[in-house]
Amino acid sequence: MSDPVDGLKARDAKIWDQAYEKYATRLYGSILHLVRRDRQLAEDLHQEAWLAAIDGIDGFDPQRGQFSAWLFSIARNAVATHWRRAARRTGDAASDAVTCERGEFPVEILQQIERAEVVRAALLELGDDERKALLHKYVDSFPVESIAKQINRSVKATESLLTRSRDKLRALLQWYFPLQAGGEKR
Amino acid sequence: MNLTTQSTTFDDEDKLMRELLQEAGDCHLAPTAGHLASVRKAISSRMEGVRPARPPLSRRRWLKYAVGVVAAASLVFAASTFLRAPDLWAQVVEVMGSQPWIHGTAKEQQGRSQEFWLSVPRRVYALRSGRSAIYSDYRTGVQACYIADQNLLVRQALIDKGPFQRLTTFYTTTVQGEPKPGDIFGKNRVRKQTQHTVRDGGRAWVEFEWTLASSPQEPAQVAVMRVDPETKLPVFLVIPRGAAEPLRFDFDFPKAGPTDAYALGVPRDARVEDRLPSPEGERALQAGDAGRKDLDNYFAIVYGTMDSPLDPSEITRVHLVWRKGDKWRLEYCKPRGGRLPKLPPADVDLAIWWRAHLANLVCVPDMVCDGRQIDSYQPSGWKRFALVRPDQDHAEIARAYGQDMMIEVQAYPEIAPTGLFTVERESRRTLFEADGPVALRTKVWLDPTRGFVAVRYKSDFVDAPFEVARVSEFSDLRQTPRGVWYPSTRRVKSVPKPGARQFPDEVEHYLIDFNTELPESLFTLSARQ
Repeated sequence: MSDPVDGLKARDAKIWDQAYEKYATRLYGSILHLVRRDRQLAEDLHQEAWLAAIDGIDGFDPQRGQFSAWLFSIARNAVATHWRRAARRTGDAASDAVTCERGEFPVEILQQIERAEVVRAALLELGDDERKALLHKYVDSFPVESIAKQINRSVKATESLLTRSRDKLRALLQWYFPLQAGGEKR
Repeated sequence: MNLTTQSTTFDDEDKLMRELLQEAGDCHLAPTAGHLASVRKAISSRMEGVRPARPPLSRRRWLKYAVGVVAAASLVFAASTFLRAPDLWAQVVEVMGSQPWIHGTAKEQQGRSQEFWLSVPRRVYALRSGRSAIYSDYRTGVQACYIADQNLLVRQALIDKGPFQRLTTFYTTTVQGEPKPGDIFGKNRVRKQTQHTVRDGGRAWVEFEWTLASSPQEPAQVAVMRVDPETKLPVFLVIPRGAAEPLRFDFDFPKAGPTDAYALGVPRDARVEDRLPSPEGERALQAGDAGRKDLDNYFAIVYGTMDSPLDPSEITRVHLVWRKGDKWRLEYCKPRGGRLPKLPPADVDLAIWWRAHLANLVCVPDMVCDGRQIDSYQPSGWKRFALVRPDQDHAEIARAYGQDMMIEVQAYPEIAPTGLFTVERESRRTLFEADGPVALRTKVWLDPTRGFVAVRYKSDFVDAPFEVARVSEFSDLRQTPRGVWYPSTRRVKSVPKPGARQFPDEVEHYLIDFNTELPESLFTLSARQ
């Protein structure tokens, strides 16, 4: 069983353990940002996401994206569902969120989360090199040559990585922020 | 909070990306090792078709039930006891305590009224809401509860003595510690407390305000109590109720109050159902209270295994527990590398065996309770988790936070004091069957020949995905040096839903040493670091 996806679908404990080792910390961190650092809640949702992933792995199609993207989307759904339930409980304006499409954060709820937290959550969805490259470029203002050294890649490969990472982050943030400036949904 | 811009030039997008990333800064937030291990175990269990590890919901579930029986008015009143009393508040507390009766009335939008009467000298708390009524006499321990749609008056023992104590601590000011904004009380946290003077109707009033929120996600709400600065008596209390209209109670202080449930408007022809405990039930209740209290002064190694397709001899978790009165300490142990040990051989001296094996484990603090507050260990260090309210006893706290690690709440679980005991004869023994707390849908079987220690416990589930019930069987009964019975093994069996897979049994072992030294320093944050 050489393909890890086959291993995941066969509920191979070893393969799942490897996936857990690789993504657990980032997945947890991403959830924690999206629940405004409520650790107890993040722990619940983190476990829920992994168990949902095991239950739903048969529906994962590697042609449509990487396992990590699929896994993080499950976590986002879990968080979004939590927020919707919370909104329903409080009966506030966000109760309209119930009608939102699955997987999207209702706008009213996003307004309760700091923008920086959402960006942090999205950053954790990127691969380590992708995140490092972006942070070196935009936070540390390192030149590409220096970033290339840091992540042990060629300058050309680093430029390419930066482009890809930025596109990926942008796409992720669009997922979180579904409205255009004019208020229309994409 | 709009992220996208109408400008689409590369430079602008680059600028936005820089702004966002600089604003975000460090995104790394690490989970605790305990949490990572717990989820790993849940994953492993799920793949083996084994019941997933119980998620850490029990504390919150407990909080929900703990406050469920208290009327909103009582809660906000009670809340006041946990706030540092400024001088005026102390006077308000004293003057209110001297009143024969405190009477509060509120009208809801639909015209339905809510009223409560509280008498500290008589130890009575009565509540009328619409046609329903509850009359709680804490002196006799009897509560009369009128269910209007059945025209039924139920007489039962007061299960939770907390509400009245919470109300009365209002007067006795036996406040432990000095809670600050952020502390838990009831289901809310105090975010802020203020006191200010307002002018209304040509005169000055003092208003106390408490900003409350049940979690960071929930919007904050403000409770307000207006006090007459001359009489020091409250005039009204406004209780927030989420999206619903706040409820305003107006106060008066009559000389006389209701003498029984009928005085609250319960029809004389209401059917009366007596659920007060039978003499045997009363004995079982008392034995339970005593057992939880006297199963004390110990150090326990609690270790679990699972009869799974994995390795049934493999120990899946190890916890250490120290208890001394209302003080306790929990730790969990993990291997320095590799896995936890396998079950010890049957003929080995367990104490010696564990002493040797604990040396190979890293034991990490989890929680410490010094009798006044509970601190939880986080990667960043100790963090205060909850305050122990003056009215909370050890059992209540242990149930909520110690969960299944603390033997006293396993051996002597809470039972509903309804008197609905039945006797069940098994092949070699006669057991008592009693209802557990109704909200938890539990049933417990007690052994009257062994101090009413629990020998079986059944929880029914309504919404569990795979199970309809879970049954705990206790065995290997032993006695403490003081003669209190306790089980040293608990086997948890799952009853699956039709068509669902059978989860393997979980087995919990309790190795308890009642002769160990328990220095006070164990229950401090600096111990065993």
